[in-house]
Amino acid sequence: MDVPRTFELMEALLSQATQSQQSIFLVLFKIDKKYLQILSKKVSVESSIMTFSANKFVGINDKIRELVEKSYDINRAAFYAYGAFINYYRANLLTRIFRTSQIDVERLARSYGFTTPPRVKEGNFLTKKAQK
Amino acid sequence: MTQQLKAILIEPNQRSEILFSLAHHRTGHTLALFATEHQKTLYQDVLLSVNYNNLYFATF
Repeated sequence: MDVPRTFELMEALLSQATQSQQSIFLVLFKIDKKYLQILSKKVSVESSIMTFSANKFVGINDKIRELVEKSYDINRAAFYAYGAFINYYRANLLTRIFRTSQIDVERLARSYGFTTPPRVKEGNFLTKKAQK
Repeated sequence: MTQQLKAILIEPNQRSEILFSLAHHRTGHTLALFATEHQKTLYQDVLLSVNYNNLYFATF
């Protein structure tokens, strides 16, 4: 899952997962590693870090890029997904850690099938519910 | 009570890779992925050609 916007939401998800004996995987960028330290101070949580070496991945980015180039619908879907992610990241309340200016947008765009990062307007990609 | 959290540290270009790895995991568990509506749409469109019964999306 992506990083929740507030600690309260994270705490609620963690307690729900503990009650139903499930585990939570949090997908974080390496530059946002400090979030785990702050989270352990705010919420009683033990976090274990998992890293994957690049040679374990199958190279799905190239396949997504082919799809994005061929299909208009997937191109639009990728564009909105990219914008939604950037805006969600930007909307996190921990602005000291989650800085949009620090993300390597070219590499992030490659993950969504783009060779050049598309331009994102602020706040246009979030749903009304998420903006509240 | 101390809760458990597993953090996966990735580079920005590895987001899709992680998702596809999760979609193909063989542990027998079903995973819920919290993501925005737009990400759900993209990944469902792309994943349609693959069996991804062990992954479902929860949106916020």
